[in-house]
Order: sequence, then structure tokens, then C-alpha cells
Amino acid sequence: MKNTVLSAKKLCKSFAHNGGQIHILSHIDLDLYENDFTVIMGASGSGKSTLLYALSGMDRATAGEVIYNGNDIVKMKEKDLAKLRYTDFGFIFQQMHLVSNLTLFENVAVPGYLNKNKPAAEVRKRTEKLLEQMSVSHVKTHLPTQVSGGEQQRCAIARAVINSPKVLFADEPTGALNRKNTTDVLDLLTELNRDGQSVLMVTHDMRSALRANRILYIEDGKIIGELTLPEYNADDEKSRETQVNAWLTSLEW
Amino acid sequence: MEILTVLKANIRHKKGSFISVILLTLIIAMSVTTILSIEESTLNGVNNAHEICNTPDIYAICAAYDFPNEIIEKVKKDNRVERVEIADSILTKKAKMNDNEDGALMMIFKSDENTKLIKENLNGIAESTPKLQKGEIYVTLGFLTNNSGKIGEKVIFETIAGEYEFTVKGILLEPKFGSSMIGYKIFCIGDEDFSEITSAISKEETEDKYGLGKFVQIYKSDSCDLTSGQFRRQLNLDTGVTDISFGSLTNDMSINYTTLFTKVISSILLVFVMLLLAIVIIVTVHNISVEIETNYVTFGVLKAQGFDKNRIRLLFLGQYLLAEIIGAVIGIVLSIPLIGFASNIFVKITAIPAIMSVPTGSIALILTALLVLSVISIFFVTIKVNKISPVRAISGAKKEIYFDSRINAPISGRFLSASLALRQFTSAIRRYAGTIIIVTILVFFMITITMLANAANSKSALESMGALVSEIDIEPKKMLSDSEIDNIEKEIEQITTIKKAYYTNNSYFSFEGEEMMCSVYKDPSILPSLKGRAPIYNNEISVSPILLEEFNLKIGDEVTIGWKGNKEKYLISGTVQLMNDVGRAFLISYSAAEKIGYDYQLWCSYSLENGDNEILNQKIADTLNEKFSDIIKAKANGEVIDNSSETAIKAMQIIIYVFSVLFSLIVVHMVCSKAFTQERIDIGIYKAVGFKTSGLRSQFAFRFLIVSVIGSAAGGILSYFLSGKMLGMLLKSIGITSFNTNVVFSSFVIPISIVCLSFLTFSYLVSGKIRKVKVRELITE
Repeated sequence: MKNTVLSAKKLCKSFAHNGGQIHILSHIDLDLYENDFTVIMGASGSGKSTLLYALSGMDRATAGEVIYNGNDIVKMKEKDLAKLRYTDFGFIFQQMHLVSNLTLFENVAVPGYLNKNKPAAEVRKRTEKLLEQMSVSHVKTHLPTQVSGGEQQRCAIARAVINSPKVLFADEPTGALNRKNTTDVLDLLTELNRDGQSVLMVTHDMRSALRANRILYIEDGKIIGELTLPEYNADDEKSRETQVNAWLTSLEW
Repeated sequence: MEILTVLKANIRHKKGSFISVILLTLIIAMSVTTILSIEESTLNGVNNAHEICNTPDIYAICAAYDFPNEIIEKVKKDNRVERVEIADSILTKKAKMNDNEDGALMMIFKSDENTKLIKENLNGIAESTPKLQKGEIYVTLGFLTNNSGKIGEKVIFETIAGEYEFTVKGILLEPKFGSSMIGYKIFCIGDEDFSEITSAISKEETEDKYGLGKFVQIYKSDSCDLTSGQFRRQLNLDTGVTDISFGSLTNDMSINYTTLFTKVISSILLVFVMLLLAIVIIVTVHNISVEIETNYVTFGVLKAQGFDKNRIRLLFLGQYLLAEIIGAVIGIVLSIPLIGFASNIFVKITAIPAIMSVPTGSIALILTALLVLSVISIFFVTIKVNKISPVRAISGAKKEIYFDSRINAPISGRFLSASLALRQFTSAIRRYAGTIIIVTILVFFMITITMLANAANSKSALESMGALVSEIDIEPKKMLSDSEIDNIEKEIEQITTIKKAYYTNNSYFSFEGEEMMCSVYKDPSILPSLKGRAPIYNNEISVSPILLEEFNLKIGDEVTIGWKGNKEKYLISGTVQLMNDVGRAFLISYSAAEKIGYDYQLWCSYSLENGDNEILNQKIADTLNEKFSDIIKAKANGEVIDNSSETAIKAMQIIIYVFSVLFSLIVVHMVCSKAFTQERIDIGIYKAVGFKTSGLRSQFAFRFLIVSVIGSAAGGILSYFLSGKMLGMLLKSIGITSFNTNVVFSSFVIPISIVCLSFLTFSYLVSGKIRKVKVRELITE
């Protein structure tokens, strides 16, 4: 029996448009489990990124609940949400979004410094370790504009996990990368998951989705399909791909 | 049409920036219009008053006793003179009102059909002059201002025939001596009172100059083309008419003295406004520069659509010129009600209601200069539009443009917000340079004006201007012997130590045929010489630098000094700083003055060891008045600067402070808004990694605190070296040629604190926009 780490109930998100309402998410019920690598897939405009942002508290849902640790993050105050972001949640953006006047090292360390429970020396040590793990320690004093997109994204991953979050959210983390960098980033995420990190990733890339042990399919703001897979193993990638492909075809993807 | 469409869209989407430029120009236009109009309105009012009162070209105050009618006859026969009028007056040198004693020379005239009054609300000339009853008096506004008096209050005159009390019934329109800048004062009383006092004084009549007087009014003929100064000098050389008086003025001199203070205050304010104008240009340039950088893609798209570089530059020009023209027009309109209000501050100095007049030519010239400067600066700053590449802009491959410096200020875990703020600052120094310059200018001006305001109060600064600064002033009731002076000083020394003793009197002498204020000192060497040495021998005098320049003289030259018809040649031994008669004065020793018959008793003034202790000073004065009541009258803590001038300086200080704070508000708003546009994504990232809005706001505000601290330091240094020089230059125009900057710690600390606090507060308030930045903005759907 898996432990639920995050749970959404009747989650809705809508926008006002031309005097009417556009419903992006419609009454979504969803549980995310500890140590899972969950992927949300769907066509463009299906609401997958919106769901990710609503679940992570980056954006507020219009209605419904997102329960984390017994608290509804939809109703959380801004300052409590801010704390959640540097203690329990980590986030990776498609466009990396590193602060352009901070070095890679500083980009990773700054959220660590926010967590006052950890001494600054410990944060620096962990930053060094993560940059090493992400293979970007050789460019740690560089500014984001001075490194490649892959290096930037690896740095962004290090930043997202600096505070050992309970859930790591990733929005198309490989969307802006070439094939080689995509593989590197996915390997890193898989490795983190193997070490016990819960991951929720949005993607429309089949290769990325193969890393998950649970795939959710969203269409018109509703989850219409779910596929459970065994833990990722590079050796059986072929058969895994066939299975996922067949499932997606059945959903008319 | 295409430009108009984009221009409208630009204004719609950049309302904040557009409104800020309107506001800045509005303040400039309003200030320029108000300042120039005050000066013009004041001068108009003064000229109009002289016309209404038909003032003569020369006026001289003489004693009625032994009045030399033959000189007057000679003057009347002079073909340069149209006519001479002589009015009888009562001369008194002391008036008491509201516990104040005014020691200036007072002339009391009989009120007649030519007597004009100022309306009680000071906004014009009264239509009628009610006939005065017994015990009623009309006084000048300058007298009321200097003695904090008002209509209905009592004034007591001390004459040689005793004291007379009057009730103030109205304010006299008196353009000749009405200003608080001129020492002499004129009053009007009813026929009955005038006859009564005149007859009482006639019985007591002595050689004392404070008895009955003759006021000689000389009108220049239309055929005489001499200036009033030349006319007075030539007439005196030929007839000796001003030598027989103890005070004379030309109409031009009176107008000059009356409007002098207004001119100086206006000049200082105008210099300040010119620097505000420079700030507007800096802000405009900064704004456009940032706009080009942040809208790189938009301009790339416009170029791709066929807009050439000149069209894009025209967009900026249209946008900013439109804002400036709107601001200027609104500013001029808003200043109209302000002019009347602000002129009121100066009415208390000129004592003449201003007549509203707007010098449209000068205002148009200054505002056109602002627009021309804007066009030039916009032309230069928009050159970088040429470098925008449509291909690069559209592909989103614009370079990182908003961090222009790579100075890596360290990020500290313990002081995270502060160190991040410092990093933001060090990585965008070019962007903040303009703001630093603005802060520097504001602080420089605020410190300068604080120094000037302090100088108006500070004894040491007054001393440096050449004023005699003392805590105890003794007016002799008779000629004092040396032993009597010794006894008085021994009495003072029993209470405290005398630091400096001055034995002096001020009188009008003839200097090269011209009436000139003279400071007679028993020991002239007590005053420091600017050049040469003090006039210690009885054939020497020392003159103010202004006099030296005016008469084209040099040290060692010989000049003719006259006193009541006696003349003698004296050598100029040096120059000295004197404040009397706005610096047109000279210094002579008592023994040298005695040579030409000067026999006035010198006043004794003492600067004391514990001079700041006003209670102790009063105690000394009381003791002296008790012990030596028959021979002297002692006064403690005498004021040197009059209330109205101090009020005007304070008003000027408030105006500069308010404008500086207002400017900081608008500038901070503009710079912060631009910083937001540039850093919106970064703010989103910081929020996404867990920064709270409050923390980011503090970070933002702290950055502006850094900017204001650096700017303030630069402004402080600039002030330390330049404020004194600038004030010196401005004060030279009112005759103070050796202004020593009185550097007080608070002169620096108060303005710097105000600017830094304004920047911190306003940037924190403006940073409220951070609340609106949503992490969702980082999402790429």
C-alpha cells in the first residue's frame, strides 16, 4: 500500500473569456503517491500544465482542494505557499528560468539559504555535491548565459532539489533541449526517483514518459486514462515503449 | 497614420511612464511660472506704488534745527531739478510694540489726501483713506512685520518731548521706506496729534537729531538724462544737499533694496528648478534607454513590418514631447492661483502688494529650452534603435541586456535579502547611475539650502557676513566717560567674561560726494580685514569690496569723506566685510571721524563667554538697567536678522524640500517601474523558489536605499566643496562678499536622511506591484 503524498479533490480551473467561462480543469480527483514517478500526458491545450501548477500551488485552482500534509494548499496564504516552495516542493521549468545575474552555484544555493533550518555552510556543501552530481560543477561560477541549455537545466534540477523536497514538479523539463541533453536530464530525474524522490512531470514526449511508473492522460481538463508501469529499466525500454504507445493509441492520442 | 496608431497604443500601455513625465514637466512649468511671476509681480507692484505715490527721485532726511535753506534754494535753481518739496516731520528713533523695541530712525508725518493705504488682507491698495482721529496712526507693513504687530494694536513712540501712544488703524502704502529691508520707517498721524507733538518738541528743541525733521524730496527734470545715482552724486557735489542729511536714498536704490530679497530668493529657486530640469532630462533618457531594451522584440517586429529607424525614433519623440507639452500647459495653468499665494510671502518684505503679472516671454523661453533639450537627448539616446535586428529580435535571440555589469557582490546566506539586493545593484550599475546623479543633485540642493537657512540664524555665520554679533547692547542716554564704561564692564565681568567689546555707531557720511553708510568704530582693528589692514590712523578708512568695485578704487587711493558740510581726504587702507546697507558701506575710526566733526556717542556691544545662555544674558541686561538706569539702556539677545527674511528663507527651504521629496517619489516610481518590467521574470523565479512577497519588496527597497546612500554621499561631498562657493556667489549680489560656510553636522544629516528615507519608503510602496507578479507567468504552455 503506497502512501499518498498529495491529493486533489474536485479540482477546477477556469478563466473568464468574452463574458463567459473557459474550463481548463474540470472536477479532477487525483492522488499522488510517495516515491512515484508520475507523468501527465495530453495534447496541447488539454490542461496538463495547468494541472501541474494547480497541484504545486504555483497557481490557485478556481474550486476544489489540493491536500498536502492535511492542509488545503488552495486556501493557503501566500507566505505559507512561499514556505512550502522552499521546504516541501521543488519545481523545474521548461525554460529553466535561472536568475541571470547569479552564478550557477548561487542559483542553486539561494533557495537553500531560505531554509533557515540549515546552516549556510551545509547549504554550500550540498550545492557543491548536487552540482557535482548534475555534472556542472566545472561551470559553477559561470552565469546562466555562459553555459549550454543542458547545463542550465541540470542546474535548475539541482536548484529544485536543494531543499530535499517531498515532491518534485517538472514542466516539460526537456522541451527546450537537444537529444543528448534530454537523455542526461531524464537520467538525473530517474536517479533522483530511485533515491526516493517523488516526481510529477508534465510532458508530451514519449521518451520522457517512459521513465514514469504511472502515466495519467488528460483531455479537455479531465483525467481520462491511467497506466501503471514497473520501475524504469533501460534494458526493457523497447517493450515499455510499445506498451505505452498502445495505451496512448487506445486513448486516440 | 501608422505612427499615430502605434503612438496611441504605446501611451495606452505605458500610462505610468507617460503620466510620470507629465508630472515632472508639470512641476517644472509650475515652478518656473510661479518664480518668474513672483519676481515680475513684485516689481510691478513696487513700480505701481511709486507711481501712485509720485515718489521723488531723491529723498533726504534732515533735522529741522538749523535747516540750511540756502542749500535748498540752490537745489531749486539747478536746471537738472524740476521741483523740490519739503515736508515737516517728527523724528524719533524708538518705537515699542508687543514688547519689541524698534531702534530705526522713524519719521512721523501728518496724514493728508495723498496718504494711501494697503488693504488689510494685503492683496491691493485701499480705495479710500479714512481721516485719522486723535491717538490713531497708520504704519508700514515692514514695521508691523518686524515687530509682529497687527492692526488695532498699540505703538508707543519715544520722542524728546516724552512718550506718545497710538492705535494702529491701517497699513500705509509707503514705497520709499516701507520695506523691511530698509531701516528707516515712516508713519502718519492725524492733524491734532501732529500739531500737539510738534509744539511739545519745539519747546524742547535742541541740536539732537531726533527732534523735528524736514523731509527733502527732489524731482529730476525731464531734460536731465542722468541716472538717479549720477543725479544725486552730481547734485550733492554742486550743492551739498545730501551732505546735510543723515540719510538719503534715490528712487532706484529704494526699488533695488525693496526687491532685492525677492530677487535673491527667486534666483536660488530658479537655479534649483534648472537642476530639476536636468533631472527630467536624465530620467527621460534613462526611460527611453530601458524601453528600447525591454521592447527589443516589439521594435524588431515593427522593423520587420517596414518601420524604419527614423519612424521608431519619431515614436519616442512624439510620446515624450506630447507628455512634456501636456505637463507644461497644465503646470502653467495650475501656477496661476499659486502666484498670488506665493507673492504674499514676499509682500511682508516689500511691504507693497504685488500686481499679478506673468512674464510669458521668459517662461516660454525656459520651457522651449526644456523641449529642445529633450529633443536633442531623445535624438541621441534613440541612436541604439539602429542596432535592432528584426531577425534576431523575432527569433527571441536578443542578448541579455538588462545586466550591464559583472561585478559579483557575494551572496550571503545570513543576509540573503540584503546581499541579493546588493547583487541586483552591482549587476546593473549603469541603470542606477542616472538615479544616483538625481539623488546627488537633490541632496546637494537640500544641503545648500539648509546651510543658508542655518546662516540666517547662526551668530557665527552672521559674523562672517560682517554683522556685529553681540549678546548685550548698550544704548547710551548721554555721552559716556571712560570711567562709566569701565564700571559697566566691571559689572558684566562679575557675572561672566566679556569675549569682545565693540564701541560703534552707524551714520551716513558723504563718500566722494555720495551719501554712504559708515561704521564708526572706536577700534576698527576689531573687524578682520579682507585685504590690506584696518584704518588705525586718523587719515584712513577701510571700504567694502562692493564700494571699491563701484567707485573703481583700489587700496592706497585717496577719497573725500564729508560730515555735515566738513570734508577731508582719507586714504583707503584696506577692504572689510560690512553688512550695513547691503554692503555699500565703509569703516572709519572714531578719532578719524572726529576730524570732520563727528560727535555721536558710540554704542557699546558685548560678545560674552557664555553667549548662548539667553537667560544669563537677560539677567546681565536687567542688572545693568537697574544699576545704570540714568545713563544707559541695556538690551540682551538682540536679533540681527528680521522675521520676514527668516520666514522667506524658511519658505524657500520648505519649497525645496517638498519638491525634492516629490521628485524622489516620481523618479523612484519611474525607475522602479522600469526595473519591474526588466526583472519581472526574475521576480517570478524568486517567488517560485520560495521567496515571499514581503522579502522581495524589502530587497527592492534596499536596492534603492543603496542608490540613495551613494547619491547622498556624492551630494554631501559636492556640497562640502561647492555649496559655500555657490552661496557665496549668490550672496555677493546682496552685498555679502565673504560668506563663510557654517558647516554644521545637521546641515548634512537632515537632508541626507530625508532623501534616503523618501527613496526607501517610496520604493517599498511602489514595489507593491510585486504582489501582482504570478509564478504562472513563467509557464510556457
